[in-house]
Amino acid sequence: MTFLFPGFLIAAGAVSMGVVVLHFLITQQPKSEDLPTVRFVPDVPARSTSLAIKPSDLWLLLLRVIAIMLIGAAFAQPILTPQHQTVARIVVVDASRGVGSMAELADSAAKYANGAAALIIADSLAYEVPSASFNDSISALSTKPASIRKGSLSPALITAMRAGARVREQADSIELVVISPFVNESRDAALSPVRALWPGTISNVKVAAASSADASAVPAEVVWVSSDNSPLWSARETPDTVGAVRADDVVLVAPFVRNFKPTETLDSTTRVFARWPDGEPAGLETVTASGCIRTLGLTMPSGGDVALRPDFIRLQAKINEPCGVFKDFTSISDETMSEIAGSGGLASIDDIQPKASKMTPLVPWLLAAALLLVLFELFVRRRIEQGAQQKEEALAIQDNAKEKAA
Amino acid sequence: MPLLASDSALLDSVRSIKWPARRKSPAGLAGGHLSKVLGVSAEFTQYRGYRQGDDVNRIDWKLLARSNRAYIRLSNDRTVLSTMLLVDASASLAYPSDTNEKWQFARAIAIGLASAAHRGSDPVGLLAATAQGPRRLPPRTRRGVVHEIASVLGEIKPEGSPDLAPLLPMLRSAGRIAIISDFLGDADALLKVAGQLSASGKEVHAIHVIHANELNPPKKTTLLTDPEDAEMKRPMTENTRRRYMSNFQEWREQLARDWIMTGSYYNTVVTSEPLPHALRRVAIPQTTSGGTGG
Repeated sequence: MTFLFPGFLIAAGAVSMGVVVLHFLITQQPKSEDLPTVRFVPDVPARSTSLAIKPSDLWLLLLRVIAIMLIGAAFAQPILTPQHQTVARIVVVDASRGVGSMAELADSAAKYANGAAALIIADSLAYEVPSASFNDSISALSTKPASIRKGSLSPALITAMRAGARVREQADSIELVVISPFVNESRDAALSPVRALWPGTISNVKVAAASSADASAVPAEVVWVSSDNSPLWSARETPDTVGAVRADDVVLVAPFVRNFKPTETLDSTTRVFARWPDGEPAGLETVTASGCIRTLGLTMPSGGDVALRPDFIRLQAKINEPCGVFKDFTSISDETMSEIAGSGGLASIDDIQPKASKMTPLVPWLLAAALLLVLFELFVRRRIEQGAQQKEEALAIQDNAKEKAA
Repeated sequence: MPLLASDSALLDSVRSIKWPARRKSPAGLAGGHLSKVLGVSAEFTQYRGYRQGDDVNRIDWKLLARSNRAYIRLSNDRTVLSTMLLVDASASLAYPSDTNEKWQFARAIAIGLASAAHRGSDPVGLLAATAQGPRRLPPRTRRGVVHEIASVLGEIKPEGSPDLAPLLPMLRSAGRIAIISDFLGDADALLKVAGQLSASGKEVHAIHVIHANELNPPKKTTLLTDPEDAEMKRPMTENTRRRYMSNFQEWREQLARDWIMTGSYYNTVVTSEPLPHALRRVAIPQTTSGGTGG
């Protein structure tokens, strides 16, 4: 078992030591004062500050110490790590449209994913594959068609770092392997700063990129949804009004009536082309064999001068842009490749921050156990106090009886 | 030691208080208290048959003419009552240690009673039981005796554990004895001697001085020490406080019963009450055969 924040455990130990010391010390030092009628005060033992040679209430002390240690352990976030490796490997597979051969990509992924601690598949988005599904996901890569999504290495690296924070307790070092065609379109402005966040080297495994013929521009077919002319859209039960629509960097502000909404099942060949301000899709682009179809679920306002505005003209140009015009399947330069690979050794787990935002599974159990112990300690303490009070009352009755007899 | 300004204010506040005798006083100089001896004053009381040896001038001739029997007129005589104050100056009176409020209150009670007695033309004196030995002022009627008593009491610092019982027989000549104490010392021996004095016709007043904190101690945990016995230390906690108050009340009730049984007049005065109220309760008769107050 290891702890994400062992400092809390040390602090709990220090607090426990304090509790033990306080337990062995009598906590209450009565202030000494004169009272002429003190003879009428019952003669019970007076407490003073001194070390108790024979500690009483050891059960209470034990309960308190265990409760404090459990709370400290809960804050320290323990993790059960049955297997500890020297090197844990994280594999990032770039399955974007820039890949030339999905079979080659799958072969490379299968080679590196064997025994890996984490597998991340990415195109424009990145997601981590559960460890039980490594083989299935890699097999699916070899059979499915190439993605239509543009590749982006930045989110892939960020996802890898998150996985690194999770797997850091399983090994001493972490190896990061990126399998990608490393085409220029998968490189964005955030790549360099994101790469700098990874504290070790990155093993770049380059696969064949798609041919430049695939990058040719194809005219787009534009469909304005009217009633039921597209299976991707359905009519809203209650149309509402929104104030703008956005397609990439073009924004048109106008009082649109939102009559349609996308159907819930969109396949992998369809992507969102335009959105409403609340994030809901306003336009979809579907890749076809001959090019692409853009269906727009928006209705232009009938009144006003919207059609005359420059924003509308830019939106219209964006809608009519040829499909695939931004494809750039040329390889990243060697200099950039070297920058991605980095220098030095593998990333040490000391340089990777642990995951702090999520509790480990043991934490609720530890806190529950601590709560139970605190309640039990309260119960035991009350029992002890009641016993002491009964004893004192019995002594008082004996004293009175002796006085009366005298 | 000159009279303090506070003592002057005290004397002003008790100017209207008188301290009449609870019993008829033995014969003595003319004063304000009823005497046991019937005299020849103008205040007629009763007739008595003429006996041989009586002064013939006291025969009521008119009554003799009507009844043909000789009677002499008798009248109440009034006399003075010699008063002695026995003041306890033990360490238990020096409470709280910073203000000595309990001792100051006992001193004020003594001065107030001396003033009340002196105002009735009674000779008044003082016997203070101190750790250095008794301080005595014989009973006098002269002007300034109250100031002398106040000065002597002002010079005394309450300390030690002087016994009161051995001093009480020194006051046999007084007709009225007022014991001002907290009765935490030799209370049993004192009761015994006081009972003898009371049986011999003396008017004995037991004035029990109690500090308000003794009746209702502060609700805080403290280790208490007896000022007269440094070895006696007891913890005052929430539990022991209840039992202390119960024990103390039981002791006070028993003490009051014991003093009344001796034929003495027992009163409790608490430092939190106004002094004139406390003095009136001590001086004004409540019962004919002893009483309690407080």
